[in-house]
Amino acid sequence: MNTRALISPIDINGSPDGSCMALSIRGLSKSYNSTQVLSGLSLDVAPGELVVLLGPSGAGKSTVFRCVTGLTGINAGTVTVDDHPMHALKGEALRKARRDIGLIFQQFNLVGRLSALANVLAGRLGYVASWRVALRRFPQSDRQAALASLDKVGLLQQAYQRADSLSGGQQQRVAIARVLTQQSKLLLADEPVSSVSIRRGTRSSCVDSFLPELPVPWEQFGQA
Amino acid sequence: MGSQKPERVPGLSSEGKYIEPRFQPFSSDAIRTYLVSFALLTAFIACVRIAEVDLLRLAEGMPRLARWAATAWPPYLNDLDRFLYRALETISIATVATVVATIVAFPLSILISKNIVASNFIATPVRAFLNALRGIDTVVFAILFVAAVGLGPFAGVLGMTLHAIGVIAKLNSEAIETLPRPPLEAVELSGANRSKLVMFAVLPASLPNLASTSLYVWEANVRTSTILGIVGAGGIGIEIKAAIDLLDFEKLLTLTVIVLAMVTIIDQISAYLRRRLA
Repeated sequence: MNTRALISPIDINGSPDGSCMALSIRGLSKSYNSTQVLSGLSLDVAPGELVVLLGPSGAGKSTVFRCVTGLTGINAGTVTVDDHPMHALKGEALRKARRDIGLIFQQFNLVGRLSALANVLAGRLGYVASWRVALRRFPQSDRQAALASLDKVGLLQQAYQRADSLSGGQQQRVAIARVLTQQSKLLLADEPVSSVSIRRGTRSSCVDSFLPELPVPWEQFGQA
Repeated sequence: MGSQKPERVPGLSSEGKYIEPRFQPFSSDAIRTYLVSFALLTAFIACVRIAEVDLLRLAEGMPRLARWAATAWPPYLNDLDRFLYRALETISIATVATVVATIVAFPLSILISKNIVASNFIATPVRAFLNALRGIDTVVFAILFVAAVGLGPFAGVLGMTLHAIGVIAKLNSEAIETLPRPPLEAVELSGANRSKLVMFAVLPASLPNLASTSLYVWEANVRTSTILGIVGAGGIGIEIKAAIDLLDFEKLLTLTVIVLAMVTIIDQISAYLRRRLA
């Protein structure tokens, strides 16, 4: 993807050094084998700001998200999320930094054999002790938060249903609830509502649930 | 392989008919086929010679087998309770060994799954250890344990457990390695460490496969444990060996029927449970 494919309703240049930014990308390059996907991408997102990446499929939008979260290594450049240098982090430091980034995947990526509630609780895995995970004994506050998130996306009734028994749209809403429960500082959404039905109001209420204070009406961006 | 050869393609004649390439008996492809066939045949003949295969001896032995088969009727039923207890012992050996092996094998299978533990530093020695367990047969381990802990089913349990750990861990890791990556990534992104990832995502996602593997190994173990008795490691094999040593074919018939019934029932139970899991 070249940077021209990146369109934002808001100035994306930000401050020159990217300080005080929720997300700051400088000269990011990434190639898979011989295919150059990103070359020299720079982008700043200020706290409270909404930025939309638009581009045809295969342009590299998802790759940007993978680079930001450290799921994929990068070839050149820097990625800073709320003072965490994501490009340089490893192990425990990377895990800590990831707690501050919520990512809603294009393909929901739920664990199909777990209940919707368990999938939503996965958002708290970075915070709870290992023994609690082993025994499935999440703190009451986390369970309350998870149920509240499910309620927000309209799936409270399905809390104890297995994720793979839900429809595509419902699964995507579970994925959104998971990210809400994570309470991250930076929220990345990779076509977050592509599977949510367009029934009047559903999409907008879904998006409203994770974008409570939009600087501009979300409908303006369509699907992004 | 190697150099690029012109591909065999159908041609087209001037009358619009398709012309198929003719078989060329002296082409390099054909000669290679002759050589490979000759080598395979030679190797098989060598194996037949080394294994001392002798059809004449089989022909001489057949009447003896037939005589014995005739003396097997009626089956000997006086010791039926003891035989059935031995069958239960056989099933118990297999069950204990499979359950213990399943529990021990799970963490080991995580360590050798490439998608969970990327470093070879741990995986390589663990994999080598498991290969050794898998490479040494249950009966060999059982002989070793009979010498170490004495005659009886416990030696069989120990031997069978070791071998089963190797088998189950290997099959489990293959199931774990084929888990779809994205859901695991999503859990990782919440900041979960490896152990949380395993407990929260890998275990539930691979559970049906793991259970199916263990059931399959259990079924195979029941079959294997019928011969453990022959080396003194418990089970119905002890009775089989005694009957053969004494040429007591009435007992042997009873025992064979018990083994067949037992194995069939276990196979059916295992198959039913695995179907339910799928």
